[in-house]
Amino acid sequence: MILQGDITIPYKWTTGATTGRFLGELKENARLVGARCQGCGKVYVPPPDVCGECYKPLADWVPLSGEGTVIAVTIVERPLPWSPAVVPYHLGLIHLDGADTNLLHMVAAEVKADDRVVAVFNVARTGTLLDIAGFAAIGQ
Amino acid sequence: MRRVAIIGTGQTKCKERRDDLTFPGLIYEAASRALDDAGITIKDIDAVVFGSAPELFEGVNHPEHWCAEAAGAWQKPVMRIHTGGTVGASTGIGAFYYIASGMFDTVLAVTGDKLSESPVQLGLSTVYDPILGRQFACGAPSAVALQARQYMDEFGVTEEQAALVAVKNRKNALLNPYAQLKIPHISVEMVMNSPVLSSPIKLLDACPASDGACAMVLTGEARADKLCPRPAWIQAVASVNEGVYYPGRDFATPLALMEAAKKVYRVAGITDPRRELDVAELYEAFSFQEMLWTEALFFCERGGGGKLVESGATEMTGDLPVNPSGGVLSTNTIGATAMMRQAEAAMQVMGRAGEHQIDGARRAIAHGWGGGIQFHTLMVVSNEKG
Repeated sequence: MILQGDITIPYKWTTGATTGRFLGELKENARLVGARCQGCGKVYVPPPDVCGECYKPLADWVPLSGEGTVIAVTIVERPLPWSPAVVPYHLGLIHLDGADTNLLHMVAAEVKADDRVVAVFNVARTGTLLDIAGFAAIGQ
Repeated sequence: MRRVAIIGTGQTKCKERRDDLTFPGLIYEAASRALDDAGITIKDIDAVVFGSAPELFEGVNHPEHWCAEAAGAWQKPVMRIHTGGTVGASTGIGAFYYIASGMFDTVLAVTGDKLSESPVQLGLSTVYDPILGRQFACGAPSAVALQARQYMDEFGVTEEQAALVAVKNRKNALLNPYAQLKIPHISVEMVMNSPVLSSPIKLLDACPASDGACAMVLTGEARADKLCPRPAWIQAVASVNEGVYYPGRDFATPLALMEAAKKVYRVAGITDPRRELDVAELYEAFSFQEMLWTEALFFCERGGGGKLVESGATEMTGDLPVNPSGGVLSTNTIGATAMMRQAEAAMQVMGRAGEHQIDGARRAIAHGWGGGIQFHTLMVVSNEKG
């Protein structure tokens, strides 16, 4: 026999000051910023609270152009829970100019590895990574 | 530090859905088989270490209490371990710590998951940071697809080479009575023509989801010598974490595994792993990962994983068979998966692997992967105390 069940639990996740400021920049200014580790100088985008390697908090803020270079692309053919778009959609790893990390986000269909891309923002923004609609190709 | 040996292992038959057993029922099946294999009873067990993956899979919190009776933990110390995909291996390592430290003498380590009870990718998506990652609902396949793409682009490894891994391990699974996925006529063409999940990963490059459990009995030197004619001595363990903040990772370079490998080789006195290891059980949830892991374990040079599988060296007839059990590509319960690697490695050096026994296996390595893209465990077992 099978017993059917369901669990629905609402959450309220605290962003913290560091990540909150990053999300606030997305929402209020449609702008990508990074935060620099006080120890190694690495620029994190998006910024977590702590640099794992140095075990120091991130402090200095670094404005970014929103442009970057694509490292890798996958085309998602099967829908997954909370898919950000209707399949098939293209996910890319993007090395933003001025960052030392790679951002995972959607890229336009024609974009491939090594292409230059720029962030495209939604008009209505709520303070999440999905305020960026995706990354479009530039200067082919 | 005291010497520790594995003296018994037990696995359930794994299926997409085990309608005949509850989750505690699966735990009991594996644990009682491990006790039988060790030739002891639950009365001989001093403590229990229990492992399972996210509680959301079965929807019951405190699974170590839910399963306490089934795990043989009634009136005994019990500790639960949860480290994502590596949890099975971490549970075995936890039992090793218990005995090596002198805290307990004989320990039952048991792990499992019943993945058919909920949508697995839904539960898995909750392992990602809710603010900085879950929006892309990577599940497992999408994040891993980017790892595959970056690795293959950087080193020129091909989808056909990945398909060779999928074929090799699925053929090995035909010899393992506990393996779930059995595809007798599997071929490179079948893998290449299977539907794309997230490019370049296709359906047959990916593991199935399974209901199942695995258990091991571990004990100290004196009892191992007394109870077991040929125990699997644990020569070294390592557990290395890089965290799950993806933006900072180079997906194509598993630094944590390379670090773990250096640690266990140093402790076990291994200088040439390709020659000094007889068999490897690796956590290849996706075909291309086996190539990447063999490189990080220094079985071959960086970027040489594709050529290694092409050479036949990792087949059961090769000089370093990888995943004679059929591996994770044939069975993946998540909770028990990494312990199955340890149990299978132990079975090989104990000479108890049945039809998939590698003749003359003396020393084996077991790997666990999970938690995020790069969280790894290793265990080296041998039929010599070393």
